[in-house]
Amino acid sequence: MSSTSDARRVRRFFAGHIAPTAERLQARGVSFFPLGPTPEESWYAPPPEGADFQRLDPARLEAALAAQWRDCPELAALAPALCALARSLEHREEDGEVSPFVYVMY
Amino acid sequence: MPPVTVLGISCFYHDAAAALVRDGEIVAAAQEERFSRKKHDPRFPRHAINYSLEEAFIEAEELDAVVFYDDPVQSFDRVLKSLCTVAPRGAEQWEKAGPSFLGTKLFVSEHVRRTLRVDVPVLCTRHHLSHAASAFYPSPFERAAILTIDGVGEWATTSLALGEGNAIRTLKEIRYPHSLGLLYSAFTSFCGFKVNSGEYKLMGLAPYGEPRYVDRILDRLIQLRPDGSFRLDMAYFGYLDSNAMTNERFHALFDGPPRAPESRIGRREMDLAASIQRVIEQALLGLARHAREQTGATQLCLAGGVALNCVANGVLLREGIFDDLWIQPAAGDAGGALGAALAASHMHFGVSRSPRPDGRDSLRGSYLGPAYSSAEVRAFLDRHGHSYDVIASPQERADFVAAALAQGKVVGLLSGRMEFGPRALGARSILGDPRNPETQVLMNLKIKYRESFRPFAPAVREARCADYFELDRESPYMLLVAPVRASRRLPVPRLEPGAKGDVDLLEIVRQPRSDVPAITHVDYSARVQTVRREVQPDFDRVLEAFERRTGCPVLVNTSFNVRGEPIVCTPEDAFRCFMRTQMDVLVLEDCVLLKEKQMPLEDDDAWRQEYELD
Repeated sequence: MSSTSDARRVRRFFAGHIAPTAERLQARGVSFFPLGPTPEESWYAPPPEGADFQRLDPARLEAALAAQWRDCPELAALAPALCALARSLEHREEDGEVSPFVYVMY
Repeated sequence: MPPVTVLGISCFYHDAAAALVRDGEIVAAAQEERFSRKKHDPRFPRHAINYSLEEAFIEAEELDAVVFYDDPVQSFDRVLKSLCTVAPRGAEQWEKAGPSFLGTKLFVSEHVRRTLRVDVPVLCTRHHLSHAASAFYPSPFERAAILTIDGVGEWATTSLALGEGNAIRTLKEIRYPHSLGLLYSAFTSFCGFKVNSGEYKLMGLAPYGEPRYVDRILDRLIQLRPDGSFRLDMAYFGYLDSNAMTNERFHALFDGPPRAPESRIGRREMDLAASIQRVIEQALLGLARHAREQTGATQLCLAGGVALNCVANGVLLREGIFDDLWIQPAAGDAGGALGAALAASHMHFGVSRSPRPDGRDSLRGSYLGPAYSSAEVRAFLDRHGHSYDVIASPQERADFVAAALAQGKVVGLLSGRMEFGPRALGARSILGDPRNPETQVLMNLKIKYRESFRPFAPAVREARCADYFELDRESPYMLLVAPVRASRRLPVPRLEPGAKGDVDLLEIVRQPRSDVPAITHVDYSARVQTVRREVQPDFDRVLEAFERRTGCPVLVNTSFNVRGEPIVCTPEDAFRCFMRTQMDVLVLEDCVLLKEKQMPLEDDDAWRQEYELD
């Protein structure tokens, strides 16, 4: 599979799945993080929950994502399609350099 | 009981690496870039893994676990929630980075099994726990506060933990997108340097400027709370929803568009560098004070990319919030591989930890990479017909090198095991005479082929450090910046700005500021490496011989590479770099090569195209 077709599939996924999900979440007023200072006296968050070490198992990826998003049905509903997309892209190790500007989010 | 052997890996982000830990003892650690020759190589570290297994004399079947330094599910959670926050924007970013993210990070265990061809347990841990472990476990401290500060790992951008005995307990964190690392990177990018490698340049540029933008940064970009926590105003940044770190509002705030890479550096960039440096220092001090209050610990460990800001580290040390400080030299993502292996060894497998009784750290000088025997070096040189002399006596060799340095020659040194982390510490170093006012310009422009303003670091014999620098402790990893002693400084006339208000950086650099001008930065500071005979005997012998000859126990020590090239690993890498630059002498273990006796490399005119400028 060429990188062009990978990019096309990823672009289609954004348009067909991520953007509509985002629209629904934004319409529902869901906010995952603040985009600026808020009135609290402290901006520390508690430490992350869960085990310090977990076994990595691609076969459990969908279940892991669904568990991660159990409080957000819109995201949980994306898990099967995301996993299918991920499996179709497996082994796409980057040969060229990823733009230094996109590393921060990915 | 059979030993517990754990392989840690970091990859698919930047600076892939592998590290092997046996019964809690660090056996090997190396960055993939050193083998692949691709700077900051993010790919699966197959070469570094092979090396680590070879160094430990084990087969992959003997590993108890492989540990990835990051939790892919949590990272993916952040990516998706970020996209859902900014969509319909963010599509371009997703399209560019999505395929490699989805196809690699989520399938780390498959990569491991395919590469090692064994069914070894593959674990993951949290990114900031990996960093924290890389700093706490090798430190000399039984109990310490641990601050990890970087761009981002899963959701955390800053975390505070307590290390005690075998355990590390995370106490609190600050989460994405509010990040000191990303704030600093935004300024790096805006000033025309490359994100992830140009941060060092911005730090080096800071002393040339005035911090006149500090109030603007604190008013608009970042708010600091009295407890050290902070928030950014994302209205000024581009990294959530575009392919740029900053946006038009940021540009308007700082008087115009970003500086184009490789264009002339102006007064604005110098002042921005000085300003963001000041803000980072202020933020770091706030976090450190809170860490002290929360933990009651008297010692602090630092990790994460921001811990490579050695100027801020020096400020933190001098502020005296903690009695002592230990910083992981591979503080960036490469160090995550080591931390993941150490964390799993002690926290998952229960290997006991005991700091060294002599109060020193257990990182072995960070000389954790491959070494090459004299026989291997000679075989390489003979095979290619390169001219060399063998000086088998370490003392005679040191005397020879010291004499060359005292004559103003520049020497490449490959000696012993390669360093782990971004700094060359005498195993893969280029050395020069710090007393010569021309050394800095010569080494920047004719050997490193890099920007003329960038300062060089001194290596100094530990026992003589206090004679040259206002530093009362060891600094073996070049992670502390300290003032050059006042008694050594020279007065410098102020240069008048040109018509546009700018001053030529090269003119400033050429002004001698002390009796060791090549390592004295414009603000009379220096990024110090202290050297001890027990840790790096060959390098210490050279320093000692240079002192005997000149009275000066200091040398310029810079990494053995040219701009954009990973630090050399093998004798072949070193020879190639030697021939492509104006270095005069090359020392490969006990073999000494003189440039004048070498034949030029054939068909090597286009070598600069091999390396993307950093």
